Amino acid sequence: MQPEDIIRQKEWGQLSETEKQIVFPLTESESEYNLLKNMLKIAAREPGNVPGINPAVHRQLQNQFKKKEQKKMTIWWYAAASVMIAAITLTWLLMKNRKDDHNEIVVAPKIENPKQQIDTASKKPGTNLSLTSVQKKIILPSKKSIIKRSESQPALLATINTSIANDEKMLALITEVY
Amino acid sequence: MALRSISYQNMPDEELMPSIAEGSAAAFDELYHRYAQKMFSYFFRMLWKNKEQAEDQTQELFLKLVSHAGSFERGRAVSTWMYSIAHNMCKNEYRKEEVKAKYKIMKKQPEPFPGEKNIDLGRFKEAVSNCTNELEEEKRSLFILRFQEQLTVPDISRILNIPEGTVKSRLFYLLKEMKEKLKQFETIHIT
Repeated sequence: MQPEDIIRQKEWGQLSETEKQIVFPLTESESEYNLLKNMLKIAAREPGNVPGINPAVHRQLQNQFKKKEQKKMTIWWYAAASVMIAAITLTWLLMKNRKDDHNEIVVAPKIENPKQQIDTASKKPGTNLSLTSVQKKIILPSKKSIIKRSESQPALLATINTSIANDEKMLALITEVY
Repeated sequence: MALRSISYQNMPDEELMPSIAEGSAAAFDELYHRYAQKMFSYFFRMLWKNKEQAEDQTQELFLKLVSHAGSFERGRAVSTWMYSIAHNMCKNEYRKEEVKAKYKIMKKQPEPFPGEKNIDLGRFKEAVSNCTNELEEEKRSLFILRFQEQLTVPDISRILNIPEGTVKSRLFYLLKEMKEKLKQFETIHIT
């Protein structure tokens, strides 16, 4: 039991020895004890002196409560609508992708590059036509080979000339051709 | 609707909370009727008997209750939960400078007790009221919860979030302080 509970409930003369031991550190005399008793009585009456709450507070709260609930419902509706829209968009995209895949097989692509030709050489019986762009292979001589040739050209020409000069038949043929 | 209201009347506070979280206006009304005046009274006494401020705080408290109804811990008492929210709200109010200024004005102009026949009793009431107003925020809260609202020590411990032993020792020193301040009224007799 707390000292304030004892002070509230009992008079000074009614206190037992154990109760006195609890109360004594707080009140040493009857007058002090009664002072605290009176103070606790006044304090307990205090809530009765408080004015009543304005009924407008309740009305405002009810309105706010309703608004909050409506807001909650609106959020749920928006969420449901956005899920529906997302689902429809996804379905449409999937459908579109499938259609595109199908078209690739059926419709021949436009040949923008005139060098693109149908590769008939790779065609095998029973296989579909495949489109490949055949480009002419142009092998450019490397710089090294050009240099080498220019260096070795006089010697090469000399050998050719000598060999032709020695071969009369060959010389006659070339002359005839020219 | 009427049937639902009647069923809510018999429900304990803790069972009203899930219904409030689900959006039941009847459950909210029921809880409001149980606690609005109590909470308003607490705010009124904590916030220097300012009626408008107490009403605003009560409204805010119930709005907080609605928005946090879903996260209400099971096994906890609604009353102590509400008092602890109210206590924290008062703490915030004390921090505000303008409220402190009002407090100073209130201290200078204590409310008279015009209807009191017994002059000594009137003066004593006034003195108790002034002493309560002069208490620090924590002590005042303790005084209101224990001596005016008559809450138990374990409940106060939960509301103020301090150990029970600390509540007991603070109450002891609070009573001692009040006794010293009201010493001149030792001879007064109240029936």
